Amino acid sequence: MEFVDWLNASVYLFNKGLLNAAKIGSIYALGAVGITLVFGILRFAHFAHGDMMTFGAMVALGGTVLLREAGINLHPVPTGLLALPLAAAATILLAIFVDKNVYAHFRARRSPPVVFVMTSIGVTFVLQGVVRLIGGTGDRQFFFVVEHAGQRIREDKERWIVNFQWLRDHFEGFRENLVITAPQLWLFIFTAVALVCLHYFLTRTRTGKAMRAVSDNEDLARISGIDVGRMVSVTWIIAATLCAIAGTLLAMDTQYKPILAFSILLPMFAAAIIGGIGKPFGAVLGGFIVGAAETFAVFDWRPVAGRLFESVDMTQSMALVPAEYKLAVPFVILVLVLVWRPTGLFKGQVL
Amino acid sequence: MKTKSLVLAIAGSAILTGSAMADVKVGSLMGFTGPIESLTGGIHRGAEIAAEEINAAGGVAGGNMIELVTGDTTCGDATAATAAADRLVNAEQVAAIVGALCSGATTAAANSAAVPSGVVMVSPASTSPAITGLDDNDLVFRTAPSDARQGQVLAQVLRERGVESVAVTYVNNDYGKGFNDAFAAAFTDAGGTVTGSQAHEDGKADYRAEIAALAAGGADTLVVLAYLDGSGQTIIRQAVEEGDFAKFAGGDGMVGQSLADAIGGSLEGMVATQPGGDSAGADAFAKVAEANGLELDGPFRAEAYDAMALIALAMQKKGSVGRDGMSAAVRDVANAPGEEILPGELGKALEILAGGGDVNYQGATGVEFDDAGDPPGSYLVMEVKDGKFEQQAVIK
Repeated sequence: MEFVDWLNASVYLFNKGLLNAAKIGSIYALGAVGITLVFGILRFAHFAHGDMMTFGAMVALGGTVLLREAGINLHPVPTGLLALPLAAAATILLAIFVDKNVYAHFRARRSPPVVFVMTSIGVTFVLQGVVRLIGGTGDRQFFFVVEHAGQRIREDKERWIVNFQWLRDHFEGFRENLVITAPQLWLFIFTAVALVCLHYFLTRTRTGKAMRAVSDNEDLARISGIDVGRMVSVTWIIAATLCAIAGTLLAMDTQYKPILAFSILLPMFAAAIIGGIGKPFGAVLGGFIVGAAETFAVFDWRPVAGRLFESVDMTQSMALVPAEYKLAVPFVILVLVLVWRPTGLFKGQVL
Repeated sequence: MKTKSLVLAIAGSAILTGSAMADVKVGSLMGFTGPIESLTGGIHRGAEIAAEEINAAGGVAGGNMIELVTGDTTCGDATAATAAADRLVNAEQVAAIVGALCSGATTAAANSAAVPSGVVMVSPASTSPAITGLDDNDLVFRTAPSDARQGQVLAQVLRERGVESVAVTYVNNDYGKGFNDAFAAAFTDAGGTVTGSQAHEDGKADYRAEIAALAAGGADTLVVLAYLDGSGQTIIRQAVEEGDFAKFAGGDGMVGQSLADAIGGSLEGMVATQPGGDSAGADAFAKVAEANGLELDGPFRAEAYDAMALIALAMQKKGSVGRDGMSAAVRDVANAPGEEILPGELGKALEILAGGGDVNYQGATGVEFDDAGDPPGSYLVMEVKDGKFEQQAVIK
């Protein structure tokens, strides 16, 4: 075995393993943060979260189509991102509307949490209907051809292949490369920026600190003069913005479909619980753990192991579990974490 | 006085028509809701057009008008399929059933309701190889060919094109599993290597981990046995983006312009098979469909027309609308000998049968039943050229 085998194996592992885990992990993280914030402040599991994401993606898709018709683009920024503010605004309005007309009603009666959970499942069904009514039942691509400097560019097809020319020149036999597409790059940027902003907001601003106080002890916060009603609105604004970002970026990276985010609702809940419910940074960590667990559970180690060890049987798959069981992996991790540490990794509230 | 008699006459004729409409009921057991709901409307319309043509020609077995009664299988839920079939067979007392569409629903409906009561089912869309082996007293027929054959055809086409090794990803249901089993066996028999074959769940956003695992086996062609508007498109898209595979192949679920549009240039050279032929029947059906406002932008519409027509002609053949002898009569009108009948000629067929003659219903799809009630199936080989699926060859 030579050094170049190590290089090939590690670049392959990074490209097919870690990068893929980070892509889906970022989406889970953005979703789980919203779920955990809503739980922290409003104290119920918000099942309609996934469909709020889909709603955001649908508005972004509509905005993108309008922008394309109008011939507006800011290449190299994907047109979908230009529609993101609109999507965020619409999702915020939706969240506030639902809260004022549905959840506030039960809050005023101090209904038990299970009533809220059931209500949010009802909201989920209504939202699914609304999304299909407006956006249709079919799948749609976020693809747009833009004219830029006389060239026609298909934005969603833009990708960069990092081929490590220096390594190729210096190590004979090096042939791996990294592949990243425009939506994925933006996904990483948005996730990082959103999480840094959220951290700053929660730890440095008055409103953020007040939110944490409400999350810790609502009654104590109330008698300290904190306007709990306003904190609820702020929570929805943050959660809805994160929903719109996650939904839009997921749809840009894959494609828009009516069950876009409903199908990842359970992994997002698993992420929020693993991180410790009510703990935003626990949720981020949980999101990446779930993403990595899903990816590496079905990861075929042959190309890595085959380069490092001569004795590997290259005809047999070396994945830990067959791909059809991928869905179950986050829940196995969830059970293990709950057994080992019932409050989650970051000592959150016990459900 | 005059007005009164006119009203009476109209009322009388309305009553007569009303009773005539219910002379014989035929079930349309389809997935009106569920994962194929967007396809079902057109398929049901295909059967409806055939029923209308029969009724316009004077009905069957001495002027009995056919009424189609619908039942919803939901496609995926065997309990719902069973309940719907039970209602059609025992409450509505249908003479025969067009359906079901999804293979699982057909199996459930046949086992629980149709076969015990001796009701003939003609499915226009179930392609699972498992239907062939149903213990059905010869009551279950289908006008859509089995995927066992399509798997062999696809394997043969790929081997002829010099493909040595493939990785297969298939949607985790009766269609995907049956197709995969048939394809893998045929491809290996023909001297090729299947480096990996994996089931995947439909409707997920991300398949990169699965694709990377398949690519690890070293095959150069990815065979995708899924639906083009579902997981199939996502998988090909992500495989192209990640650079894992450059060549693709697929089955009938993957043929459609929306796939070519979504993937673009990277799809060039993709090979796929789909049921179909270059028979005169297909052209004749296209004319009938156009005259009735049915657009042929979805699958299994011609098969549904054929299924309904066969049931009607079988009743005419045996001269009664009861369930007895339906199975033998269906086989009789579908197979040689007799006058060949194409879509739009149902009236002529009824006349021949009424005069004691024999027909060999060809229909839109070249119907012919083997001992298991399966059609032999001819397939079109499609290839993507300049961004469009183009027909390359016909394989019988």
